[in-house]
Amino acid sequence: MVARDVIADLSQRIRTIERTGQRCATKSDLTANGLPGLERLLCEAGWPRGGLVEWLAEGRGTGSMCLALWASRAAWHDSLLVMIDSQRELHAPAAVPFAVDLSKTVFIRPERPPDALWSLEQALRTRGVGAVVCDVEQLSPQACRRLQLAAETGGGLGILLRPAKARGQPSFAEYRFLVQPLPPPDARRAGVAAVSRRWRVELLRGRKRFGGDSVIVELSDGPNGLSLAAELASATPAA
Amino acid sequence: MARMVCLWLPNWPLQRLRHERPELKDRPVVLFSNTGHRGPRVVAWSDATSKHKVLASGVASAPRCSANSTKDRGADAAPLACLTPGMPLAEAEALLAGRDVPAHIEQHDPAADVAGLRELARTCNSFSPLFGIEAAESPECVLLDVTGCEHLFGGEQNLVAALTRDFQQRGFQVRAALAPTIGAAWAAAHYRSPTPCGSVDSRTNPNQPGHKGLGYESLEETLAPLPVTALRLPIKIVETLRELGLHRIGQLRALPRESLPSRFGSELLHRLDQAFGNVPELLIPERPAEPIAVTWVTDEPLTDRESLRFICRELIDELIGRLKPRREGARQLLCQVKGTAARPVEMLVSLVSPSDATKHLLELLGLQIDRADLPEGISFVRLEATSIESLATRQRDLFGLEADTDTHREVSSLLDRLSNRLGATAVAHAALVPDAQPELSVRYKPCDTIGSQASGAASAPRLFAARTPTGGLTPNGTRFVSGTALAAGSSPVIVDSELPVASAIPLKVSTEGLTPPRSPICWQARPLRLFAPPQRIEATTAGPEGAPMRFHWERREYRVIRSWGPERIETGWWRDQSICRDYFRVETQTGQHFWLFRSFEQAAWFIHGAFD
Repeated sequence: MVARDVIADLSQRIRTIERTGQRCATKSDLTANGLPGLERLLCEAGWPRGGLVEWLAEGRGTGSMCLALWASRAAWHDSLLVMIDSQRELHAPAAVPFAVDLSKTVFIRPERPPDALWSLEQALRTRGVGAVVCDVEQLSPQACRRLQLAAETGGGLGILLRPAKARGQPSFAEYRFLVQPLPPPDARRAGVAAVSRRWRVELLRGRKRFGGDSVIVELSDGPNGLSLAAELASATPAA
Repeated sequence: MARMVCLWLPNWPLQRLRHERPELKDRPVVLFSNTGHRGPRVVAWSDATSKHKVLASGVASAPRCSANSTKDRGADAAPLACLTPGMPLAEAEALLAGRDVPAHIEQHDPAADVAGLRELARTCNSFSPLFGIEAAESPECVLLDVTGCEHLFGGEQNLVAALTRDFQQRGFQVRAALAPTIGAAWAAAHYRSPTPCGSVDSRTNPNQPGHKGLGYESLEETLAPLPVTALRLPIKIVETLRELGLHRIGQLRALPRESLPSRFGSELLHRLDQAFGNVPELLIPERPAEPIAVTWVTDEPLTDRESLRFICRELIDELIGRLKPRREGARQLLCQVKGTAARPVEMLVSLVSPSDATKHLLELLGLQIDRADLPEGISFVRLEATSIESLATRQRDLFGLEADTDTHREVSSLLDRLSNRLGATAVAHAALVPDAQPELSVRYKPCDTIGSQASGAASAPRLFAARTPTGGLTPNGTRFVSGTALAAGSSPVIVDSELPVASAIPLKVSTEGLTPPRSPICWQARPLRLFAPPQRIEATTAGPEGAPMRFHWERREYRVIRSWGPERIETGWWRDQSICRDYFRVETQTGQHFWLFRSFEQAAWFIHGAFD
């Protein structure tokens, strides 16, 4: 009992130090994680308020965005969601099933990439914005640090969707995940009525945790509707 | 002797709506109110417009008008007469369901009605210096004090005729009356028999008798035959009078005056006295809006932007100083900068909500100054507040967030900054449109129209619920045809809410209150990213009607391992560009999901989106 208190106290102090002394991470500094199974990759029970999370994926149509939206939907539950869409490709009706309330969502559609980054920083810096979703292709370490500081000021969650080639770049994000689509589990070819998708979500790096672990997440129509299943993948994923 | 004109705009909420949105002219309109605890109720309605039919429709919020229009409606037998005020909205919708022209249903906005009437009153400046609106819960009348103005128009009848003509030319339906008191003018405008003097038609024809305004001498005989509702009484008193058999004002006049207050309360006598001019009634005048502008002129021209910023700060300070005593803030600023070139450079700063903070306004103007192409040698700067709003409204419920006002201000300041740098169209809300064609199923509205957002969001699910299920026609004429899932032949993938939606997910984690709103589409039906326009691809198919087996896109070849579809989306021939497409959701060997379609018009394959 005493040992647990000591550990809790120490981890609290570590968090305080890590957060540059401005704020300390308490329970209220977290928003719930909406993807059961993913908590094995997180060091706390949810997403940090005032932090960045990167979701990396190779190519289009991998499903990283719907995973990111579904996992972090608690972040904009009672506040504003900002979606930055410089490609003008986001299809708002399709975001509604992933817990996006269109009446509390602002779509920002800048024409130039620098404007997108500027909008991202402005939105992250604002209190009252629960989460900001943005595609980020290129990000210099300085810009990333600026974004992280902006998020700490505003207290929202920055969800950055990035290409897989960004995995080697330095980052100030709390977590960096790599999303890889997997083939259907029982190698069923054509012949499946319901749509189902599987991914391996790998933690590339975390601010307080080494990367390497991964989980398998499945999204499918179960007997009771949409269901999510997650299983622990082997610690060293096959390429 | 005072001369008062009362201009009655029957069914003002409906007239205003049709005036602002002319496309509603040919459609029945139903207004409902959601204020009571018994759910939405019908407040006002009208059929497709024409002169007499607007009069034939009803407004329930003002009891006097409803009494009047009930009378008119009986004679006219308008098709919408089946509706009654206070009827549940659902019942009204059911009654309207089978009609050719779909009814437009909208929430009643009393505040906008009052504001619109005020706006209208201000346009009467050319007829009289004193004008206002009636003091009622839901006003429908514009009042003018035309004492001493009639000679400018060649007599009273010409004045009233010019006034009504002016309103008619702007597309309003009015009834006007001139009398020595506001009460008498009101009564005459509403209740004097339609044929002679009170009505619009006779006013335009000065040869008809009775076109002159009422004088004190004719007050008694004119008002006596009018119903007691002409006295602007609460519905309760009218009911009591009716039970006692007192229908006409003349009957009331015959009763002993001192007995009236003890029997019916003081209001009846007060109204009676107002109508006959025994007690004065105040006309609360509307002030015409005066422009608030400040200028700065110099002989020594400015050359750099920093100095211009400094000047702007001074000007904004001065402008705010003039707005502060009125408790108002600027919602739009126009900044004109003139240099040696002839044409001034104009910069427009629009805000989501009014502000009186110099720092915020300067920041927004600074964003524009940084980007503007400023002239050489600036010698003249003019700053005008083109839109001013009361600061009391700044704490309105932005996005319905339950947060403190500081957060609201930060969010609206963020939206201001974004829309001023990126342009108003780049910062938008999405509103769902019930259209089968995917690229037309959403509309982006600039964020400066947040006020209308709430009603739009509220009406969207209802529109979707009204959509017919499988294979039917949607209200706007697009058609869904359900196909069978190609391989399994069991579950059709079709845009309809009957399929399992995300709201049914059993959540294992403790995320109470996080169930997503019920969505009109299921999660697997539409891609999160939609390419505009669709990109043409080369595809190999299993057969003439079959699903794609492999396709080329962006210089890569994809092999399809699973596919779902087809979902046929077809629009009517009456559209400019009708479409007929068979959509397939495909999974490639790399695990990526795309949305492809076969276009029947072009006999080709396209990729329309990615399930990101």
